Amino acid sequence: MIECPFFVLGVSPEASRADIERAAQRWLGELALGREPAKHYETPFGPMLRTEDLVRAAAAELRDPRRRAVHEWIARMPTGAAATGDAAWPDALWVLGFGEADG
Amino acid sequence: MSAVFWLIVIVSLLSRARSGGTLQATRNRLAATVPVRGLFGVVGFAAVIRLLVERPPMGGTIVCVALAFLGLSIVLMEGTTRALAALGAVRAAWLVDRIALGGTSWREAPATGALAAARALMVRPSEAGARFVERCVERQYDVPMTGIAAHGLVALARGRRDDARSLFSALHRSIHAPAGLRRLAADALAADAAARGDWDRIRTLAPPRGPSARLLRALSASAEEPSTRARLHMLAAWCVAPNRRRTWRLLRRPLPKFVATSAPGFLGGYRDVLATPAHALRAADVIRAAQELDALRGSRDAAAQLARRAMALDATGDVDTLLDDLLGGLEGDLVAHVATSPVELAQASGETYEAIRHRVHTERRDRVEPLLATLAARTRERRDLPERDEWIAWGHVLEVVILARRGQEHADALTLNALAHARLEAWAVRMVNARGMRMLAREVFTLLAMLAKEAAHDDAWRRSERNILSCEALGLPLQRPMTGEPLSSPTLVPSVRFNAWLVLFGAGLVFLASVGTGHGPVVMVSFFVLVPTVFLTFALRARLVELAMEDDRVHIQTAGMRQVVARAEVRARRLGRLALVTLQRRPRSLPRLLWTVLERRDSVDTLRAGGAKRA
Repeated sequence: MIECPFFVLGVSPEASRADIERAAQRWLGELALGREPAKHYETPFGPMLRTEDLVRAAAAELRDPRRRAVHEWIARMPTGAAATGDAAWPDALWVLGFGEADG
Repeated sequence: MSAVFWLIVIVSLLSRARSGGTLQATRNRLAATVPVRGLFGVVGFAAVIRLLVERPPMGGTIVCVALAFLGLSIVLMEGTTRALAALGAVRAAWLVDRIALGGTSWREAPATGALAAARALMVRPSEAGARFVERCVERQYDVPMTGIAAHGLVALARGRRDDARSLFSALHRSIHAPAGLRRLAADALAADAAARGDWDRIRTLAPPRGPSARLLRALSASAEEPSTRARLHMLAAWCVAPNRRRTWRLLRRPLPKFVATSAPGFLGGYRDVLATPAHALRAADVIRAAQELDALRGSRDAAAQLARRAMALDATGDVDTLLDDLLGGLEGDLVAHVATSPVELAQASGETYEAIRHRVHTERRDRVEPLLATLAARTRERRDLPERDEWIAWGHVLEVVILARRGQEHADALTLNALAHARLEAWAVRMVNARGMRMLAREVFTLLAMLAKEAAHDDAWRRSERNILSCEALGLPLQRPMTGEPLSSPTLVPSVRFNAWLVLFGAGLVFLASVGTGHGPVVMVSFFVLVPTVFLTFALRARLVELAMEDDRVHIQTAGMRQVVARAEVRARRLGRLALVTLQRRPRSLPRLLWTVLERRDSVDTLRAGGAKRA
């Protein structure tokens, strides 16, 4: 469920079958060209990696009406991280004498 | 006074000899943290100075001043080592630490200098320095805990943080490691966790903790609940922490902090759990997400909406199956995410929560399986890794097993024990028998004893306890007879060992008799005969070993312990019926140079030919 096909393809739950197929072809084309923005997609849990296999699997999943009905529920969730903030402190190892700073 | 002085000198010399067999039992009883050599060194010097002051020989004052200077230098060398490490002088720090006799325990003595060099490497990382430290550690088999710490620091210097985390994790969890090393491991783990933003790990890091770990905990506590007390605690921790100039900035700026915000609306709890990094998850988040799924399961509205949508899409099947698919998928996502986190799920009400809890335990246990299967395959096929990599593999196994134990019930403990015991035991036994890695094997048996105890498997627990004792004891109890082709004489070697005691006993009797005469010069002469006799007896007896060859390995049996080394590491030179044996890399607590009485004069040739004569 975390890899909801609607998020992978960037289409709304109301999208028609043709819209879904077009979106899949567009992402496959962009991934084949190696376009950077195509490599990630937004989800309610933060950005995730988009691959060609994932796009094909997403399109196939939405061809099944039963699976589509289930995924439409997930797609109702708003995208954008539900939690914010970054707790990482990359300098910690250097500051405490355990090596060089990250980056 | 004179007798006390000589006693100290003799014990000091013996403690320096650190050969297999001599005084091992006594030393074993000494706590691993007692710096035996340094202690005797300082006391010995004090005794010499006092003796010379009481009865100054010719030029006594000069000698006293010279010896006092030397003694002071040794004491100051600890500070010198630290200064060199702080300057990043890898080789110089190693050298001075070796000369200063380390400040390490006798068990850790072979790796003396390596940790000082590794600390210097942290200041000025370089590949040449890293290779130098590795060479220092790998001079011998059965790398002691100091060596593991040095390997961990080298891994950090090379940027291999996963490897370093495994090594330090294994070191910190070891109940056998010296406390100082465990504190160092805690500091490194805490710094690594802070770099990854895993503040929960810092908060839950078990003692003993080093000054850096304590500072990070205090910082974390102060950020969580700011108060005057927390701030004072933080300042106190900063005062004793290293790198105060660098860490001062921390006290003056807000700590990076993960801020979890409760997502409102549809499946907000589910979204929260999946959007939160695994290490920052809390049980309350999981409970909230599970309650949402329970509510969804009982919702008539949800079922009706799903049915309408399915009808619009011409989907077949009943709505209950669709709802089950939806809930099963959501539950699976939660399980997959929670299983990778260290969160402990206690028992609580809720059908979905209990299902998630059960599945998380199973999932965590399943993650142990492939690691154990890899170990079992390597054991079966006799595929060994370098010692450092074996420790890294052990660190991985330990982490997943400890995670699998979180919140487990008795049935889980039974399954985990059944899953892990035989395979880990076989691996550890191979570590001892084929590689002489008792340190690592002892850690494995300690974990196995704990798993067996939790599973109430008495036989397995007793066996693991016996194995721990076997690893710790330098003379293995219930040691099986040596296997393989004997190279040394099985009758003459024990005979020489016994006769050495007789010689010592005789020299002691002569000394006592001379004391009885009350004639000064006679007492002096007999004393000067006794002292070297004692020293030589212990030194030679410690180096007298029995040898047996089996395939590509050579079993070496001293009076008190047995080690196994690769045949390629053994060089032998025959002197009549005797043979001088040199080890290219020596096992822990064995001297590099050994000697034996040969079974046959051509036994040495057999060793050189790798057993060709046997065929």
